[in-house]
Amino acid sequence: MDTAQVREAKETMDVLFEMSKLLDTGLDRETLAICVSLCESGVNPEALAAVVKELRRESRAVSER
Amino acid sequence: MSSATRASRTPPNHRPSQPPPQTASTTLSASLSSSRSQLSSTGGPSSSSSPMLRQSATRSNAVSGSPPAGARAQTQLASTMSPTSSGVPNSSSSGAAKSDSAPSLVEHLCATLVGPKAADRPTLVQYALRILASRITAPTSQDEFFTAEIIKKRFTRQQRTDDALRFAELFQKLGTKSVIQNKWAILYFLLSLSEESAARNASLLHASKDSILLSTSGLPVVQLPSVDQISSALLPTVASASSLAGSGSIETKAESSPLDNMALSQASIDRIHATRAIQAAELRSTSLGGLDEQVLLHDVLFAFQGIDGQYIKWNAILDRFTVDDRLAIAPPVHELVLKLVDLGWLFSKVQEFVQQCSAAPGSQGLLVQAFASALHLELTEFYRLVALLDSHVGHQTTEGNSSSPGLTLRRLAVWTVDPMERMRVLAALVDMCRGLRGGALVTRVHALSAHGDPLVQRTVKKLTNQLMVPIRAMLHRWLFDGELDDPHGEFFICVRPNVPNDRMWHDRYAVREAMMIEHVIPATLVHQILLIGKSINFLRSRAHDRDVEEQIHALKMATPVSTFEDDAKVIATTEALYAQTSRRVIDVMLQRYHLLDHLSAIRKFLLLGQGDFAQHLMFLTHEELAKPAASLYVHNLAGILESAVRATNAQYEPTAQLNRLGVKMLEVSPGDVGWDVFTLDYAIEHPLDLILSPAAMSRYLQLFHFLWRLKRIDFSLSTLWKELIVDFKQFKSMPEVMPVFQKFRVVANEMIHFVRQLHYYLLYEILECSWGELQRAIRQARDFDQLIAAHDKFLNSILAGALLSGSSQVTLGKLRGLLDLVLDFQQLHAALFQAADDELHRRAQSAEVAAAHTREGRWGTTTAEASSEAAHVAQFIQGPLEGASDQVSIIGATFKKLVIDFGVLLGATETNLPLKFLAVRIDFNEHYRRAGLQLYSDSAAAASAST
Repeated sequence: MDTAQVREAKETMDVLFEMSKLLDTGLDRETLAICVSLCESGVNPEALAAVVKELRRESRAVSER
Repeated sequence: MSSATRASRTPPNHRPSQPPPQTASTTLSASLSSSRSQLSSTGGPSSSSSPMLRQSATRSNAVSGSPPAGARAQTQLASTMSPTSSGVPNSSSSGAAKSDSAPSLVEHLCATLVGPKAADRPTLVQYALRILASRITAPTSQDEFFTAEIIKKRFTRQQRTDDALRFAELFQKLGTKSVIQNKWAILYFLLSLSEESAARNASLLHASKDSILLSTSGLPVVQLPSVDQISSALLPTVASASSLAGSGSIETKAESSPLDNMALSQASIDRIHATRAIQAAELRSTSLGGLDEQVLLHDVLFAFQGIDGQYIKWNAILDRFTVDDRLAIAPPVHELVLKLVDLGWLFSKVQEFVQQCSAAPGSQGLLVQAFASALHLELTEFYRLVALLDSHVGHQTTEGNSSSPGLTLRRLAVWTVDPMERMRVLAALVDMCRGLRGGALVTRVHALSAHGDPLVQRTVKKLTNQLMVPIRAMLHRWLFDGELDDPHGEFFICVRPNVPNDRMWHDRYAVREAMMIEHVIPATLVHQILLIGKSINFLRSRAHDRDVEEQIHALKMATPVSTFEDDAKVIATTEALYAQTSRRVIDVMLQRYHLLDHLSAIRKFLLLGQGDFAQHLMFLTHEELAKPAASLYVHNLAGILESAVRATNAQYEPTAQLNRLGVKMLEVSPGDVGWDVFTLDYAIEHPLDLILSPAAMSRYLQLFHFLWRLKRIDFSLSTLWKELIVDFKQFKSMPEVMPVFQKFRVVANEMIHFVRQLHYYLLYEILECSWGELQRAIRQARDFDQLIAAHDKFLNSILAGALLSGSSQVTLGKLRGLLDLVLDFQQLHAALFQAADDELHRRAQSAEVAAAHTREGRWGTTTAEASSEAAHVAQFIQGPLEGASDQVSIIGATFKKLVIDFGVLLGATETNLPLKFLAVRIDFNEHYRRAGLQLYSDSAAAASAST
């Protein structure tokens, strides 16, 4: 029963990851999983997107330094 | 991932290690209901700014505070699902107890995105949390299907239809999963991120698009929703947003990078703001007296498609769209609307044409159909534009936020400038090309591609390209298969099915002048194209040459129809095929059908090039041919011909050629002798008759007849000359005939000189020179047409040289007179010779009688006998001798006069250089010129005396 749930969760994750790739979001699987969790917890997706963008910019800034 | 690992990280109070399915679903549904309750309070189109503020504040509390139970379950789920996430959060020493809270998730996020080592991570996490807690609000409509639609539309707009399909599939799959509750949020999140990357690529994308439609509307369309959404999300609370930025900058003053970033992001927010303000101003400026602009926009979009709207209606009498008079709108707006709906008028014009064509397919031909289909494509593109515009208007109304219009009349006016221009061109083309078909249509359309406006040029180029599709297909078929696939008679080459085989090459295929596309395919190329098809047909029907067919087939495989879009490729292919097929046709003619051997045989036999054969044939037939034509039989003459061939060098000719040689009798009319009806014949069968056509052969027979006549004159003159030699010896005893024969000799010499010169001229200057030229031309011929032309030139130059061409009728008449005179002269001589011979015999007899009498002892001649003898002699002298003497004088004078006239005619009228030389050669010592001057001065004197 648990395995069924896990499988479904995994499949869902696969679907979402492929969508993410199609949309060219540049998220890897792990980040996507975290974001999905955050979304599920009711975080405003717009704000979450802004956070990801900001963090990316930050990471770029870090790597450039 | 095993369930044990999962269980170890699951807080026991929330998730039992083996929960029944109902429990799991209740947990999830609890989370669903809790988040739904939040969402429902947030959503609603009528929400004003103040409740929104309150709600977002509530939600930020919820996020930063303890998350609902469902969220925690999902957190756990996420860490289960992602294979790598098990490592990173644990390695960053955040325990299982912490991982279920939103802040810890944000921490993970920071860790994965920035990297675990970053020193300023706590600041970042704080920063992220602040953004999450900020008043950035989601759009009011939180429908997952709507979001999915937006994503799909975006794919379509970016021409990524496959991706759109794939996405739809994925979305459907996602619908079946129950693990995730808040699908809309995830979709929206993905979309937001994707917009960022899209905006990143936008400039690149924009540059690469050459489609006019996309270049005019692409950029704003791509960016517009995102700008709008962000602005609509951000802007209701301008003041608070900026205050947030201010506080943020104060707090993070010490830190360098987040501060900069904040400032940057604030700058972008401000920019969006500014845009927003401009939009609002724009809206106000175009605000309509009481009427919602969106309604008017809808009407305009309807009008674009030629459909009546609520206020804008088609007026059949004025033949344009009119705005409802009852509508109170400002004059500038009214004018703007009228300008815009002009596009609708153009559209319906083009559409009408397309519908006409599609209503009666096949009636006007493939090219018109291609034209209609090209127009249809343009219309489809236009429909796409309209749909796009409509989606903006539609988006606007569903959002219900009248303060953020995506589309205004002015924007519409700007965005439709290029489409309007294109539609204008199309409508003009429709007008210009009505009733045209085939090549004329292409020519007319193509003429516009020289238009100075690059937009028009591009549009026309595209149209022409579409138009050429059927032409290219036909051309391909014709070039490689030699077949015309042209049911409507639109190709520039046509076939005449009823042409007999011998005219196949000349007449079966022809260029159709009316269908020529001069600008695209020039006339020289058309000629080559015509030749290629003809050659292929010829090779197929005559040569059955596997090699060539395979070569052509290989070339065909290497050059599909699509490559013909490049004009240079068409030319190159044509050149290659032309060289190949033409060479092959010439090879077939020369080697398989021995064209050159046949021509050579014709020259030797029909044009008497083989001297010994002609001489011998003349010798064998001259007696036979003097008989009346009715008493001659072809088989007898054929026998003579056979023996003439056997006796001379002609026997070494190949039998293939000798077998074709025959005798032909022309039509006999009463009084004809053998000379008039006898000709040699040369049999020609099919492929050769393309060159040696029946007409050409009848010319050859005509030439033979002429040459044979000359040969006969020559022959008879040489016989005469022999007789004249004999005369001297034979008639030594008759001194009275000597002066007469002397006269004969003088005239005969004159005649021999003339005929010899003529003969030499014909055989050497005309026949041999033309033959040399023909051989050279055949060697150099690049295609069969040139071969035919070379032969025609050969034949014509001989005919002109032999005065048999139409322009030399008068000169030829003189020549015939001259030759007839020679024959008369010969007969006269023969008669005199006979008379003289009789006289000689008579004298010999009377001398013998006299001698016998003497032997008998009597007087040799009595007085009576002597007087009778004297009377006989006198009779001979006065009768035949003097008559002949007079006649010879007359013939001599006539001949001289004719030669003079002939020479004058040649010198005066003939433009042919060899003929002028003939005149010089005949009168090499100016004997005739002087005689002519004498003659004409005499006649002039006589004329003046008579007057």
